Amino acid sequence: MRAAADGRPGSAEAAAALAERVLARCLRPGDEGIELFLHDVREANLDLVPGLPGVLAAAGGGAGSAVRVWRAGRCGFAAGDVSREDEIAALVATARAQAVTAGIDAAMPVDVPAAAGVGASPMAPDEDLARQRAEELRTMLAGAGLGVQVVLIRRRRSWATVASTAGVRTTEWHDRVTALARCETVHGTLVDAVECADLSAHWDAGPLLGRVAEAGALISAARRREPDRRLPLVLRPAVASQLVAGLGWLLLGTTAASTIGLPGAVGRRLFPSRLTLIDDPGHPGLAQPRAVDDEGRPAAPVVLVREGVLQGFLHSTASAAAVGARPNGRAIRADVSAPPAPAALGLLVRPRGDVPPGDHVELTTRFETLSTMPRPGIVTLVVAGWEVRDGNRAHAVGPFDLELPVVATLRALRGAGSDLEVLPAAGRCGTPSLELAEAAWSH
Amino acid sequence: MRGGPDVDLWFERCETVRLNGHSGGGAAVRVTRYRGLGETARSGGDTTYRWAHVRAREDLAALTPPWFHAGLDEVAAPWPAQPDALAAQRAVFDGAARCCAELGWSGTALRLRHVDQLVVQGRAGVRREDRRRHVSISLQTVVPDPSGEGGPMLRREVGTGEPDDPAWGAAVDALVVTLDAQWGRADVEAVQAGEWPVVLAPGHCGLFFHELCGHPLEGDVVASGTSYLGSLLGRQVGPDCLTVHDDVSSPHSSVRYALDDEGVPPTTVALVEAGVVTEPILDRASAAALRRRANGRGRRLSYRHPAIPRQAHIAVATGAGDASSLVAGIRYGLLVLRLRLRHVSIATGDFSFYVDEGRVVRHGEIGPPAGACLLRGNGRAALERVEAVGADVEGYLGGGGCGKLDQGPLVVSFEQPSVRIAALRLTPGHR
Repeated sequence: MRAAADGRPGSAEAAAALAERVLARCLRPGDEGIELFLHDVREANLDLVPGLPGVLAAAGGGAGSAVRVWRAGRCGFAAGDVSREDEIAALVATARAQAVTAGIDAAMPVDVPAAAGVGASPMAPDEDLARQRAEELRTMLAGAGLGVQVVLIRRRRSWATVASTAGVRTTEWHDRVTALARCETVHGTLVDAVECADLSAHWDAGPLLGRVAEAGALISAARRREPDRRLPLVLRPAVASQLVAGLGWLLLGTTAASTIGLPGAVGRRLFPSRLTLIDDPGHPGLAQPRAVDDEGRPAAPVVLVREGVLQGFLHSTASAAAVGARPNGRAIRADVSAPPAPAALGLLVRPRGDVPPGDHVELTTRFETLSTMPRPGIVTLVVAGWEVRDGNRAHAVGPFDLELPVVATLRALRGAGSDLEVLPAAGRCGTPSLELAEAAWSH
Repeated sequence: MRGGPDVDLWFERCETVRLNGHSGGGAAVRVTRYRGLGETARSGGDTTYRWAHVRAREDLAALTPPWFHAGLDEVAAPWPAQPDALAAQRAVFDGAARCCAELGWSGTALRLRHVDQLVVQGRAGVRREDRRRHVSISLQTVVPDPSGEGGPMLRREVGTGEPDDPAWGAAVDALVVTLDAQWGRADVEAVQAGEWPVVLAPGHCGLFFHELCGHPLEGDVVASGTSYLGSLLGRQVGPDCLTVHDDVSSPHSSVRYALDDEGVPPTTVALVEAGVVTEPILDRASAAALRRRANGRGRRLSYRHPAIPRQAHIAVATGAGDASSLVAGIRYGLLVLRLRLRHVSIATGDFSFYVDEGRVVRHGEIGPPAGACLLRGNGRAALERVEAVGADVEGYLGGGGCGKLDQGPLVVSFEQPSVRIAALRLTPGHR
């Protein structure tokens, strides 16, 4: 791929210089501010489908730009697959026109503290290594008795530069490798993934294989019964992570702004003191730390729930303004053509090392459904696991439907274990096993 | 990218216009435009795909061989690709909004999407163009409830592969009126749990066969050995009255293309022919693996993705009668108007759908709106239990599209007449 041919800046440094030129050239009287988001991505993907003779390898890259312009208190937005100065200047003009004719009420990021981005790490587009990793995964999954439908390796390297007339200047590199496996079993579909910064030094499929081994043990279990709903519930990380992801959705600034009473709950004890939830983009369990968000704000850890007490929400500048809070560095763009919106970057439930009682229902495995939250605030899962008596697995239970209203379920939290896992297939949430009182069954 | 004799070139110019708004207010406009180029090479069973964003004419000229350059001025012309599209679709949108407002649906959310895609394919010195266009509109509203509690959420979509057809705007207005009349203001009745006869209404419920016949018969899924239908190829799984095709040539299809995204002309794919599992959906790679001919179903989300086996337009062949005649004789059951997938196990065929809208059927009559419920069953058992297929076929294009792996949503459409299934399990209370 020839970078010069499509007019890309060629490096993040060149992009920063380009942003300076565009800002200097485009600011007009009446403009309250201009923000530029310049983005470049390279992808190298590999699909391995058992039964097909080879692999499908795809690679490519492109650049894009997004512009916000504020005039008369309104914000206009424009984006496109463009990267040259004149093209970005044209986007500025489009966004300015939109601010006037159809602008939205979105606060402008000002007083953004200076922040350093995360630098690049080397990523060689090693197709042979990707093929080797995919083959290893396929072999190990098949060895666990699962019908492997596909193994996907996704390598993505990108950088983003944010610059504005309010003085924002940040650039951050993102490198991420995701290996995802989709397997069919007699009880349903299993989808699981691991992430790392690269396929050589940081590759570790162990957590995925551990979860798959749990599923394999369930599938081959001789005895299967309905769960005893008089027992407490223990959700292992593969299941608990979906509940944590649901809580993360509830604590987005956009959810708070549209939910009556939620913003006013800050400072109140909503959950048992055993629950502490942090969004930490730099947690070592995550494949790729983030230092800044897509508005250029530092993405520092945010404590959302401290010992059961709600501390706040995840905010972009606009969502914070909507509820009278301070932005906290969680403005993320789903892609270059989407305006920034609040998102979690590394939700983690703090492990406590609590030990569950001898008798409980232990849910280890979740089977795929199209959506885990078909109704806002209620996590709906198809799960399976074990009935545990005197600390020993007595017999398998499920698969069965489990409906978990997020807030009510977590109010029944009795403990958090020490077995923290980060689940890429559950919005990169990290959680230990969560123990819930018997009441959690009845919600 | 030089387009050698053993590679396929694929250029795409795509412009999407979206209008989002409410019947009581204006519309936010979002336009997405891109041009990109992809190159596919095959060697020793492996497929390699390389892609790049294309900014301007000179980029495309530099990246492709001279025989690919015919018509470059057109494909690389300045935006907009369709200067009149925004005004035309805004008129349709405004008409629908006005229609909703007149019916008292002031809070109706409207989402319109108009896609214009120009594809240029090249192989071995031969260059072919294909223009693909479609437009769809979605309406979502809460039915007014005099008690102030807030009534059920209704959603309807309509779309077409011919956005310039003057009938398109009238079809959207008609949808609003039809929806209003169809629902009325009747009280909702909870469904009874258990196994009951079910009639799938025409059009939208083609989703049922898209999920239970289409996905399990995609060539890569069949090749992986994990499909519940893959092992049943050539075997009778349903009655003679059940025929399910994937057919882009149908007049009801909103997905139309002369060549698929690997340059293969699409044929009608007989997934199930008179109850017999007959043919998978194939791209070139899965066709080779299964020792069959590719049938024109190599499709990609955009130039950033390789082509993989995908459905296009699922068509259930017609029989006789309509929904009213198919419910005759049902003592108690459900007429399903709208479904939403909850899960399908490709390996076993076990499935569940949310029933977002339905009507209780009692003593052969279509009764009041049914409360939310879950529709469960097994794919093979459901196909076996198909009892009757009507003649009241309707086409459907709408929703976001179809997702597969990390390629979605890809536009797909359905057509289906009413279909009666002897028994499926209903579980009330799920939404």
